[in-house]
Amino acid sequence: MKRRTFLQLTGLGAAGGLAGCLGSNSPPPRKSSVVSDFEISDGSLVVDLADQTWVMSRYEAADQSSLSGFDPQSLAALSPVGVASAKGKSGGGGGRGATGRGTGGYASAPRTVHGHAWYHGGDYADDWYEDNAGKVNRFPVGVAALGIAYLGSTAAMRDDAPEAGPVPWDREIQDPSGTAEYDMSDGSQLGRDGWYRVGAHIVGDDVNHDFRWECYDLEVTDGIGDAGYSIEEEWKVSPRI
Amino acid sequence: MSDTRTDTATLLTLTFVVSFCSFAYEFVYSELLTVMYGGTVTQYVITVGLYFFSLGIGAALSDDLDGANLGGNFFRTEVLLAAAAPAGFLLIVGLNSVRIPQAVPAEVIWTVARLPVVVVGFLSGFELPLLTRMFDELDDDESATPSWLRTAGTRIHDFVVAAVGTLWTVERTEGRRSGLSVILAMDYVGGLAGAVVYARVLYPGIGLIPTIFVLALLNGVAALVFVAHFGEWSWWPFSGVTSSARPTSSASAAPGGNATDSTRTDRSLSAARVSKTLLVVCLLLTATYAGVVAKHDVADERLSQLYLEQQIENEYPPGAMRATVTSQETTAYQHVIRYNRTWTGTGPNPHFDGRTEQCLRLGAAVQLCESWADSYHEGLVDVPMSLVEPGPETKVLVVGGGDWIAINHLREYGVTVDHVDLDGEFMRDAKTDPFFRRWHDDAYEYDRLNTTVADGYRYLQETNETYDLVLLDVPGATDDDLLTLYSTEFYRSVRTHLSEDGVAVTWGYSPDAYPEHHKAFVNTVGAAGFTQELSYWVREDLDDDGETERVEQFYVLAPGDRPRLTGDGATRYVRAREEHYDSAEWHTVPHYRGVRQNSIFHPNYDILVDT
Repeated sequence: MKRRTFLQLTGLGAAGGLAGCLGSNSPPPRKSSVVSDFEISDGSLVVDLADQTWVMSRYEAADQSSLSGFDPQSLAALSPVGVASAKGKSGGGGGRGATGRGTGGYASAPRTVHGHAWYHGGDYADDWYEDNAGKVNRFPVGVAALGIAYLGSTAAMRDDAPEAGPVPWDREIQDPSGTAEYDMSDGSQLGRDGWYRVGAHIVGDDVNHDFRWECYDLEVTDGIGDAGYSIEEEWKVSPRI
Repeated sequence: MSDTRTDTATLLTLTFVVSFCSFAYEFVYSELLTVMYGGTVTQYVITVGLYFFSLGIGAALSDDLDGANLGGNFFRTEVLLAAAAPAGFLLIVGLNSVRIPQAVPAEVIWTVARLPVVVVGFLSGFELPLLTRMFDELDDDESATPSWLRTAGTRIHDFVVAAVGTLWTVERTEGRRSGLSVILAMDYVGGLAGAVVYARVLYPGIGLIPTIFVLALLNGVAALVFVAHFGEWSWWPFSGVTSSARPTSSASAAPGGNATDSTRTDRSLSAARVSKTLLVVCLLLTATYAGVVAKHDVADERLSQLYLEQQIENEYPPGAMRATVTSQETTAYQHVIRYNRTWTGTGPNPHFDGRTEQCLRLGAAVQLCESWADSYHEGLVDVPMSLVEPGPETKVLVVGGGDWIAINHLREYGVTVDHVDLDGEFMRDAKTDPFFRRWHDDAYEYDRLNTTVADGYRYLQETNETYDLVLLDVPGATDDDLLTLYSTEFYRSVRTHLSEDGVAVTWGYSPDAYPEHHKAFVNTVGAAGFTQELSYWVREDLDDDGETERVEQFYVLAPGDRPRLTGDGATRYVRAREEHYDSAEWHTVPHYRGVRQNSIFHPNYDILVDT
């Protein structure tokens, strides 16, 4: 075999083999419609819930008859406050994984139906949903609680953004409906430049299942002159489906 | 003994040594990548695949190496291997120690971490063709092979040909064997020796870090022996290139094998022509590695300490926490690491009260920190004890928990405890270790305790006991070795050993941080016959700020309906936190589509977490 042919063949083999090794097998973030819009008005963060709230999940409801006994309040009471530590999280380490949210790429990021930048979304996510259409259902959900937390300055978030999921909330609103407001000047953490996380604890409307939290990371700046606070970036951060 | 015979023996010995090293490098990298990234099977398979691929590329390209300078190229190859193999090892360790910006794609890190395997494989690919060509040049007649080797080879050959002849038609080949067959045979022998010595001596005896330096030292020594044997040196410092004047036989020598002086000189040039600079590099590397190997205990401890400390610190925001490893011990089953974590961040410490506390890890998985040692075991024991009656009639099985702390909590309820843990050495040390004694209070002396040092799965296969409560105080799913404890078969065994109202309890990973693990785990326990789950967080005011924080999430699993935690049997611990635990409810164990259960014989590696 000629050397050039040999090198071409081995190159193709290597590329194929490495592509198999490198390809990510992780499912994409789940799709959902929970919050339609964020706005800062008169020093308050206004959270508009979507008219129709739903989430895509691989959850397979085994017992539809249990729906009537479900009490969202009981789950809301479990909403976490504080830091996770101990065995599962390496002793209070806190996770990493919010690659790029603080470092740009916002303008070109894939968007959700409500226009938020979709963290970890993109073409591969659409492909995954197409390929796994039979394994995924869309579940109507209710919002049992909303939480807001100041995550840190833009610089601090660059390499230490939290994973999807709840964080220790600075404030919580139970059973929100329609629109919720957080006064940015009210609270020791709120009212600072940097990144905020807004989380919505969602539970099944028709199934007895806790779908946990859908989160949104917002970069808030002080604005120019008297403009007040403004939202520079809005990222939807969902757990993988 | 003729020079030719000595040359042949030397080349065969070198073949043995370099193939020994090459095979062992492959195992070292496989194990290192497993330690760093988890997934034994995945790492070994990919490493072996990449290694052989690179080996093939190197072998194919070896034809392009200058045939007039085979020895020089062989020497270069060995020096490069001696330099690249430990450097690659340190590169992989470094990749897992430094804080890599999140903008760097994971695929890039994956690729860089495998580069050392490719480089070592590629360089090793040069070795056999070079040695074969040199052997062919030396081995003009049968007499060049040492007589003992020839005799032994002839006998083995006769035997094998006779054996093969029972099934195939054979024709006994007489006379000279090709360089390829001899070198290849020695290569396989060296490979086998490398595998056995690595598995039985080097890795268990001195550990991974010193092993890579032992192998590099062997490569360096092989290079020096090669030059020493085949070279005669001009020590004149301004001579850029030295040449061997040692006479060797030649394929192009006069008929009959009697080489002339001129052809000998030509051949000797092809056998060993190396630059002095490279020779100095080789000497320095070899001397350095010899020093490291001589002090391998110190080198091992210091390097692994640096790595571990960096790993721990990387779990926190930059500059927020300083880790100081205070001790490391390796038992037959686990690496026990004791360390202090010190809050160095700005503002109040959100993780624990005070500035410094002591923690313990088994491998990569944190097991115990002073701030939450109590609350973790309260969650493991004092909460689910609400579901069973206290007293000696109640039988509890503890799987894991070699630190005896769970036993101390169970002692408070007077229950009968069967305790099974794999690591007898760790259990023995924990009895007298002051760090553990603070919490276990000599619980190993509990008179209703029956401890068995055994694998938990095997124990359940063999015992006929049934239990009211099974507590799984096991390490995290970070390693293939622990796949069994997260398998359908194991959980099925747990379920079949539960009494009529029995429950099993385990701690769990965050579904948000580890979604693939969580779904695989849930489907696994569901497939094992557990239909109901109750999850709860144990909380504690870790940082003494007046508010409680989450410490650990636990799951209670049952094959049928069970009472609430806050029912009549609630423990004092649960009653004191009734508002919190009253909200914990039983739910049907969910099932997720397209997620395979983890079985011993059909593992779902998604259940392993990458810590």
